[in-house]
This record gives sequence, C-alpha cells and structure tokens, in this order.
Amino acid sequence: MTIQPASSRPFSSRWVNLALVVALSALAGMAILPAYLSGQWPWQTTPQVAQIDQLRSLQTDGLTLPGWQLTVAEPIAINRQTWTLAEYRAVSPEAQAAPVQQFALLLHPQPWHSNQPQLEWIDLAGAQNWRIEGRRRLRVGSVTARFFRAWGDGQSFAVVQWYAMPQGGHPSPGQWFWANQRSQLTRRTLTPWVAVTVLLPMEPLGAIADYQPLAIELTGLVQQQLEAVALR
Amino acid sequence: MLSLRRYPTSNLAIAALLAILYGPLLVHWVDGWLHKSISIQHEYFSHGLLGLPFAAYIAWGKRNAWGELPNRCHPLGLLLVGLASVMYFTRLPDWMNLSLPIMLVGLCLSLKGMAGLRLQAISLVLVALATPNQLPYLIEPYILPLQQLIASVAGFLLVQLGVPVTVKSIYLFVNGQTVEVAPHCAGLKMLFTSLYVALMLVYWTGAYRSRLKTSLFFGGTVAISVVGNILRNALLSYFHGMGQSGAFEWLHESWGGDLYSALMLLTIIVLLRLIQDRVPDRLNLVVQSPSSSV
Repeated sequence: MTIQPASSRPFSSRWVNLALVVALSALAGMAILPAYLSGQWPWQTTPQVAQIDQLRSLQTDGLTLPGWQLTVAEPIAINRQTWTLAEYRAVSPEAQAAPVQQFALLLHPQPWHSNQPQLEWIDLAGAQNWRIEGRRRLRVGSVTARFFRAWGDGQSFAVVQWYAMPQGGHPSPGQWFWANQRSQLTRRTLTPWVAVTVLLPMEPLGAIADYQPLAIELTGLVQQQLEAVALR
Repeated sequence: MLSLRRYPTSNLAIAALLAILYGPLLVHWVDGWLHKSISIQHEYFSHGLLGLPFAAYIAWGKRNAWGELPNRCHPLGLLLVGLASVMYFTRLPDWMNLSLPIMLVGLCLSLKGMAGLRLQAISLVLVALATPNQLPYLIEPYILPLQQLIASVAGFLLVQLGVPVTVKSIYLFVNGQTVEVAPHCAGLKMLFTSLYVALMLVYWTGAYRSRLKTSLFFGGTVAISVVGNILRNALLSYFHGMGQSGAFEWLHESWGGDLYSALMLLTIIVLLRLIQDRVPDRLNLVVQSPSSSV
C-alpha cells in the first residue's frame, strides 16, 4: 500500500492563499482586534472561581455536619499552606451508635483563583510523619477517595482523602484538571476545589476494614455538605 | 522593496496577520519569563527566550529554499489551521498558547505541503517545545520517585560530610530544619531546559547526523541534570540546616540559581565537545575470529 502523492494538491495555491488570508483576517477581527482597541488582552481577563468567597469563609468557619457537633475549628499551617482543622463529636443517636465517637476533618479550600491542587497528600503525610499502609480506594456516589491507615508519633488513623469539586471528587489532581478545562470551555469559570482529609482515630494496628463503613458514611456527608455550602 | 517582490502579496499578508494574532501573545510570554509573573508552569518554558529567536533565525536562513519549493496544499494543513483558529478563538490562555505551533504546522502544510513541513521541521519543533502548556502540572505527580532519589542521595552526601541529616521520602531534616525536594526543585525545569538546549546544540553543531553521538549526548544531558540537582539540593539543605539563610536565599532565589544554571549549561557544552572529539559517528563492531585463542 502506498499513499498517492496526488492527494496533496487538490487545490490551486491561489485559492488556498486567498482562503487563508480571509480566514486569518476573520479570526483576527473577531478574536484579537477588540483587545488592541480596548487594551484588555484575553490573558488579563482569565476565568475565575465563582465560589471564592464561600471557600474563604469555609477556611475560617469550618464545616457543619448534621448529626455531629463541631467542637474545635482552627487554622493550622502545613508546609506553608493553611489547613482548617475541625474536630467533631457524635450527637445524633445513630452517630452515637458508631464505633467511633469523635473524628477530625482537615480542609484546605483553594486559597485563591489561580491555585491548583498539587501535592497536598504528600505534604500532609510528610508533615505528620505518617507511615501509610493498606492503601485502597473508596467509591461513594460520585466521589472516589483514597483510604488507608496512617500511623506516626504514637497515633493511628484511618484516613480518607479526596479533592472535592462540584458534582464529585477524586484524589488525583488530573481529574480536577480536566474538569477545570471543561468548565473553562463551556462556562468560562474555573472549577473550585477543596482538599479534604477525614481522620478517624483507630486502635494501634487495628483492622482498617472495621472503619470502612463509617469512612464511607462520612465521605458522603462531607461531600454533600461541601456541595451545599461552598461548591454550588 | 525589490527583495519583497519575490514573495506573493498573500504570503506577506499571512505573515502580517500572524504578527497581529500572535505578537501580543509572544510579548506576554516573554514578559512572564523575564518577570516570573504568570505561573510556575509558564516558567518551565522560559528556554523559549533562547529557542524562539533561534527558531526564527533558522527559518529565516531557509527563506530561499522555502521560496523554491513548489506551492502545494496538503488538506491536513487546512484542517490544522481550522483547529488552531478554534483554539485561538476560545480566548483561554492555555488554548491560545497551544494554537501557535498548530497554526504554524498548518500553514507550512497548506502553503508547501509535506516538503514545507520537512524544511521547517526543526524550527517548528523548537517552537512547539517552547510553547507554555500544562504538561508539567500533569506530570508532577508522577516524578515522586525522582524526588525521593534526589533527597536520599543528597542526604547520603551530607552524611559523608558529617552533617547530621535524616531523610524521609522527599524531606531532608537538618538540625530541626526541613527542606522539601518539591517537583520544580527536583530539577524538572532544569531538565527541560537542558534537553532543549541540547536539542539546539545538536542541530547547531550537526551532531544530529550521528545517532550514536546524539543518544550519548542526550543521555549525558539527563545524567548531568540529575547529578547537578542532587548537588544543588545537598547544598540547599546544608545552608538551611546550618542557619545560613543568606546563602540559601542566594542559591534558591537569587543569582546563585542563575550561576548554577549557567554552570550546568556550560557542562553540557563541554560534554558535546568531548563527544564530538572522542566518539566516532558509529560503532564498527568487528567480530574477531578466535584464531589465537589460548
């Protein structure tokens, strides 16, 4: 099989040149000439995060969760980034029946429009001196999260982590990246994100499977509340 | 005006339209590279400060050969020009940036067919590899092993020098101070720059004609880049841990970093000279008959 070279010249060069000049003129006229006149270049007026105010108040106030009482909400610095540490105690009868009566939630809402999720999980594990074991995936509705046992400095936690976005969540920044491209192309806004870490205190060297039902329940609850409060 | 006579008006019009479309964008790129004012991803491509003028210079040198090529249009070219126009029309910086190399490839194919594309190949590759895009962001999560390697070897070196250091994953702890080998600190940017400069040198010196020399040179460039970064991170950890914040700032942010880059590029040039002088164009492996076996 050979490709016929004849297929490379079906058009006369004069018409091609004319068509190119017309097409590029039209593109320039529509896409960039207005910027020459106004001085407002496209790269100066980039899309923004519509929910930036809600995200910032989430950072100061913490997140309320139905059935759980928020006992502490304070900012902590992890590797030059500010996270909000919130602690919860069970109040509802169903929650009080759970094996764990207390848990902690670390939230890192994007600080400003231009911030992208990056290496939050590595930073956190490094700052906490964690050793990570029994890594697995949790799927809760539209959320995929990483779930593992972390131990270090004499404490063990069952940990759930994901980047919460509107309509879902995933632990990999790549998923946010493509969602963000889509929302820029279709709605000219950036996709907001919140790095979420749920910490369930567990027995040293306890079986992580015992904590999975509660982890699944809290993942759904946190995502639902974030979508209601900050990611609408 | 005489020299312009040789080019049809439509080609001049296309050149002028390209300048109108992409001139301000290129000014924006250069401004971002010089002032580090756009984003870390944008800075990854600052080798464009060297590469874009070099690409233009090569293309200019080929203007006569370009003029002599027969005018023929490859339909793929028109398709690419259309695609680039759509990308440009989104008015989103990521897509506008990427539209430049696609537009240039499309125009080469539309005006001169495959022969035009082949003629300008090296310029187009240099432009494409200097076009700021989000690839560094997408690959950063996957270079953790490189970060860990650099952290542990830098830690090993410091221990040899008698510095009390602990390494955990990508962190070096010296005297209660923490140094993180972040992805851009792990020399991903320097690796990009070194490989880009290596590409320019290989073209400039004609070493690309020998596959052996080219592979040795690119392999050596990667090795130099990784070793250089290990040394740099060891020094940074040492300065930080010993409380010499002035020296840390100098190497991390100030002209110490530029000096480091310059030394690295100089080493690459020396490597190429060595390869040019000592390495043959190809290996002639002669099978010796075991006549004089003992």
